[in-house]
This record gives sequence, C-alpha cells and structure tokens, in this order.
Amino acid sequence: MTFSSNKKNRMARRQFLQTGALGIAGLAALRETAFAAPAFHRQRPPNLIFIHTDQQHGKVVAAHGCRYVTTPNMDRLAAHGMSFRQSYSANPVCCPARAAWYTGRPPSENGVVINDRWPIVKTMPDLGQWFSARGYEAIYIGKWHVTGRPLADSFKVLTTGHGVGEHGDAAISRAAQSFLLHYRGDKPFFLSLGFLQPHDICYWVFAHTVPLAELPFPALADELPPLWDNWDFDPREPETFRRGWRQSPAWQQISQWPKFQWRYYRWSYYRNVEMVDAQIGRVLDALEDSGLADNTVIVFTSDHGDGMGAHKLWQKMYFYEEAAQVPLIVSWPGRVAKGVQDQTHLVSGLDIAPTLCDFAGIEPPPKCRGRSLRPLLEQRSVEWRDLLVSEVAITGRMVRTPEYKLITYKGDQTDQLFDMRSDPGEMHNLAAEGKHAEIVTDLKRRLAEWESGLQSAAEAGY
Amino acid sequence: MLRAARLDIVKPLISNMRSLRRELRTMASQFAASRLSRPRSFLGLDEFLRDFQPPTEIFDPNGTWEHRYRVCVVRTEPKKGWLCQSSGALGLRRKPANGDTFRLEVSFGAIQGGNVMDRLEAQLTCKADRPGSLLSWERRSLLLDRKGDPVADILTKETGKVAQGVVRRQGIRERRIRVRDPVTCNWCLFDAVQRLPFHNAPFLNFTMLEELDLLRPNQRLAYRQTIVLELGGRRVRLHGFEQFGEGILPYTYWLDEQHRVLFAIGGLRAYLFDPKATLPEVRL
Repeated sequence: MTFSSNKKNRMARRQFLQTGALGIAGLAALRETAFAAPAFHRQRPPNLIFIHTDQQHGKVVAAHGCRYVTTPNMDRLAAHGMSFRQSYSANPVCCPARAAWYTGRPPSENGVVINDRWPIVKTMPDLGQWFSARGYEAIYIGKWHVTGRPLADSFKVLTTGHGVGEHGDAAISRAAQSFLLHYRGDKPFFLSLGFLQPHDICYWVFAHTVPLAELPFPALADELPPLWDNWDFDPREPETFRRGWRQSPAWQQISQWPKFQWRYYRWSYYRNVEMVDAQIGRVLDALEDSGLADNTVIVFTSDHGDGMGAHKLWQKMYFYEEAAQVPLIVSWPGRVAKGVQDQTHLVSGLDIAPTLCDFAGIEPPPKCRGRSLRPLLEQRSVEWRDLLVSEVAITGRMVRTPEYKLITYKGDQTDQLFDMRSDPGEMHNLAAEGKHAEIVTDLKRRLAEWESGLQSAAEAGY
Repeated sequence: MLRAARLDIVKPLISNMRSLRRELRTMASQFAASRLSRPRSFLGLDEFLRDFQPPTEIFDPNGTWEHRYRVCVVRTEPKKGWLCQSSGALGLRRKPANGDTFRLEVSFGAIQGGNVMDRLEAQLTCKADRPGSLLSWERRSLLLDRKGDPVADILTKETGKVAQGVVRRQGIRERRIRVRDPVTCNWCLFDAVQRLPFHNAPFLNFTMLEELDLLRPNQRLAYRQTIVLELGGRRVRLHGFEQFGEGILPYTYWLDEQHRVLFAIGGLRAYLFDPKATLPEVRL
C-alpha cells in the first residue's frame, strides 16, 4: 500500500515485491544449511518517521470530523493508518510533552515539568541516543524544544527551523523531502520532524489581546465558524487554575472580546493547521517517491492542543480537552490497521517511545511508563489501561478513565470532575456537587497508586 | 423617427451619467478610506516605515521590471512589544516573452535557526492574464549553512507545467494533480496584482501553488481600500488588495500610484520593498 497509484509506482512496487520474494526464497534455502546465522533471517527493521506538529488539538483534522478545516494530508495519513481519538498529551506544554515523548517517562520523572527551566535528568537516555546505539541513523529536522538536552548530542541535525512556523516549516519539510529522496544509508533511519505550526496562533493572540471594535477583514464575516457550545464555562474551577488564567492580566482583556473576535481567532487557528498540513503532504509525497514507503512506519501527533476559545481560553497548560487532547495517527502500509478510528482506547504521549521501539524490534528505554500501541495497531485482542494520567507543572494532574475526567491540583480545595460521555464539552463540574464524592475519592486513590510507582526526578539523580 | 433619434442621443448620456455616478461613488469611498487610521497589517513596522523612501522611478507593470523585498517576521510577545525581524529576501525579475506570456525569475532566501538559510531559485513562464497563470517552471532549493556552504544532500530540483487543469510536477518521479483553473503561485501574485486596475478591479478566484508545490485551493483576491500613509516623511497614497483562502492567513498587497507592490503583509510575514535586499550567491 502506498499513498499514490500511478503506473510507474505500481511497476516499482511489483519489481520490489519480486526482488523481495527472491530474497525470501534465498533466505529459506539458507535456513536449511548449517551455516545460516539467525541474524540472516531477520528482515531489515523498518524506517521510522515521527512527525509532530505544535499546538494542534486532536479534533482539528477534517478526517476527524472538523468541518471548518481542510487537511487532505492528515486525512491521507488517517485513511492509510489508525487514528487514536482518545489520545492525550503527557503534559500539555511544549518542553514537558516533548521530553515525555523522547524519554518515555512522565515529566515528574524526567525533570522537565515546565518550559525552559530544567533539563532531562542527565542519566536518562532520549530516543535519538537510544536508536543511534541500536543500529539506527537518528536524524532530526525542526523544532526540538527540550531545553538543556543539546539536540546535536542525540541526533544528526539537518536544520532546526525557525521560531515562527509560517517562516520555518517550509524549510523543515524541504529538508525532510531532500533527505528522503537521497537516503542511501545502510542503516534504517529514525527521522524526527518537528513542525512549528499551528503554534503561530500564540502570536495571533498576543497581537489581538485588545478587544477589536470591528473585524479587520470584513470580507471574512460570512466565513467565521459559528460560536461553539462550550464557549462559556462552569466557574467552579480550581483556585490554582484560576490564579493562572482567570485572574491574569491577559484575561482582563481577552475575556472582553466580542463574539466575532473569538470566532475570528478560531478561523485563524484553522488556517494555521492547513498551513502545516501542506508541509506534511510534501513529506508524504517524498516518502512515496523515495520508494521507502513500504518499509516505513509513520507516527503523527502533536505536543499539546490549543484552547481555541473553548471556555474562553487560549493556549495550553491546562487539562480542558482542547488543550490536552492531541491527534495520534500511526501508519505502516500493510502492517497496521488501515482507515480505522479508534474511539475507545486511552493513549498517551508516553506510549510513543515504546511503540517506536517495538516496531524497530529493540527494547524500550528503561522504566518507560507507556505501552506499545502495536497490539492495538495490529488489531489484536489485548487488555488495555482504563486510567490515564497527565501532568501540568508540579501540582496539576488529570486522571482520565473511559467515563470520567478528574482535574486536581495538589493542595487545592476545588477539583473538577466531568462525565465525558454525557458532557464532552466539560461544562458541568460534578465534583462541586458532592454527589460524586466517591468517584473523586476513587480516582484520587488510583492517581496516588500510579504516582507511587514513579521515580521522582530527584530520586533519579536531579 | 424623431423620437428614436432623441433616444439615440439620450441613452449614451444616461449611460455616461451612470458611469460618472459610479466613478464618483468609488472616489468618495476611496477618499473616506484614505482618512481611516492605519490598518492593522502595518502593526510592528513603524521603524521600517519611518525610514522607508518610496521609489519614484517610472514603473510599467506590463513591462520588464525587477523588485527586491526584505522578508521580515513580524510578531508581538507579552512584555516585549512588537518585533520586526529581518529574516531573508525575495528577488523577482519579470520579462515579457513570446505572445501573451512573461518570464519570472524568483530568488528567495529565509534565514532559519542557527543562521541556516533556506534558499530557492525558480524560473517561471506565465500567461499575462489576470492571475498570471502558471504555464511551466523549474525550481531548485537547498539549505546553506552558517558559512554559506550548501548542506550536503539537501538539494531538490523540480520542473513542472500546468495544462487544462492538471498540474504535472517532475522531480524524481512525475506527480499529477487535477486542480481548478486558473493556477498561479504566491510569487506570481506580486506580478498579477500590479496589473489590476484600482477602479472596478475584478474579483479573482484561483488555485495557488505555494512555492510551486504546496496546493492552496480556493483563493480569492480583491481590491479593498485606498489609504494615505506617511512614508519617509511624505504622505503616500497606497492601494490595498486582499487575498484570502485555504492554508493562508489574510494577505494584503499595498501598491503605490504606479501599481508597484511596496508591501505584502500576511500572518507573521511581511515583504517590504527594499532595493538593497540581497541574498548570498549560490551555484545550484
């Protein structure tokens, strides 16, 4: 299976299959001799491409049902792979989310609990080092943002892009395109691609903090998406969260935005997502043209989402769905489920490292807290987690089960509990009503259990 | 007979009156627009605009011309205010060719982190129609390291052509995509918008191939307003056209009275007319 179907490609694939068949026959013959070494029987491990966007909410993909955005290339990935619709960031902030991907450990263990402050615990390997030491060519292109862990110590770096996606993402996709078209290495590669978009929306908000008197582009008036159901919010929110958001100087202005400005914000966010979609398309095209697609696993996700005006919020660093839920699509032609949207399994950014290692046929880094998604991707029957934890800073925790979401900050008197089946927009805080005290207590107990199994960054040598 | 003759005289008069009324209405709206405060798209560009000297040379949008633009990243951050960071350059050279076509040479460089430069060169042949429809092109791109040397293996070459709604791009393999006509590219729009009239400007719908390979469908471009801006101590009339579409934030092209694009501003990027903007020479 490839992404295109032109005649030349079909020929190339046929030739490739014939060559592969001869190879397999040869290996079978070799197996019968006394000289065959076990290593000869192993197929070359697949190449791995890990594509990540920055600040993309999981639902903002046309294939995931978003009617206001056009994403033919993300849709193409979804059509050829499996999409996890209950996928959460391990920590909806750039550095912590990325450190969690690349170590397989939650921020409270790897030390990167906030942006740009603390590095990954020195003794903890990252995926670049891990794959390089196990026979892979580890290449990095684009945004890294794992402060304190020099990228060049872990990967071969082609370009790190630019702090503005609109200016830098094209260079990232072109470098990836060129790498794929020219790769002739003996080793399989692990190519990590860090796009910036739709992160530029942060600058959009900074530039529009003051309420607008009128839409700057009247021609767009009929194109803005309608106001969403969860634009408002249940004010019974944790004090820690309120201090950071509802009482911030920015809130004083942004909360005064007229409705059209909220809609204009979301409209602009959608355009930023479309910008990066085309860059992803350039990479997918190059992979097809390189002839490597059949033996390449693609994992696509985002570090965290964006407030998108839900609950009158913007950015990230909290646990409402728009910020915490991210896209996660995995594709490997003929090897993982195709065109499936998994609505039930709870998956996390912590699962990326064990999944990539599993496909590569290597052991995951020590004490990875996530699980390989491979059984799910191969649609094998498997017992799966019914509880997932995400973190924010030092005290914030989200506990997600198939039914509920608990948001709690250590030392805070107010928790939030949402019934995600009947209230997916998180508009009704059940924890404030006392009726669900048992559920809150139980989820907190299970959170404590999960945390008791972690090794804090201090213990790990911080 | 006499009555018919009278009608022959009156009809053109009525038509002229209508056209005059339309003209007056347009002029009134332009006058009103010229009194508006500076549009948002100029936020962050104060310093550049203060020192900017508008070109005075005679300019023919339909002839041979060469423009250079400074590429800036314009953004604001809390507590830092507006930042306009010079981050590359764009050079465009147009030359009329056979029949109703022209050649456009593009030279583009965008500075990336670590002082790496993303560099593109392209030669395009386009129709001299409203959107500057693409006919064929050659494009080469590479990355230059901080010393200006090409980064190994990061070179791509591609050719392409458009005919009857099909884009054919030839790199290592040929790719064909069916698109809605007309098809143009982001660089051609600098030419196209210069050839549009300010009065009764047509509303353009087109497909855009950004950088000649990224598909941006459902684009539209239309005249928006005329403003008066203080540039380098002089009051200058600027005419604004706006572009909207999939995969882009609104772009505004600001043209001087001679129809020369002085500024193109959209999202976080601004192209600012600057004859001194240069790019490192590369042998591709």
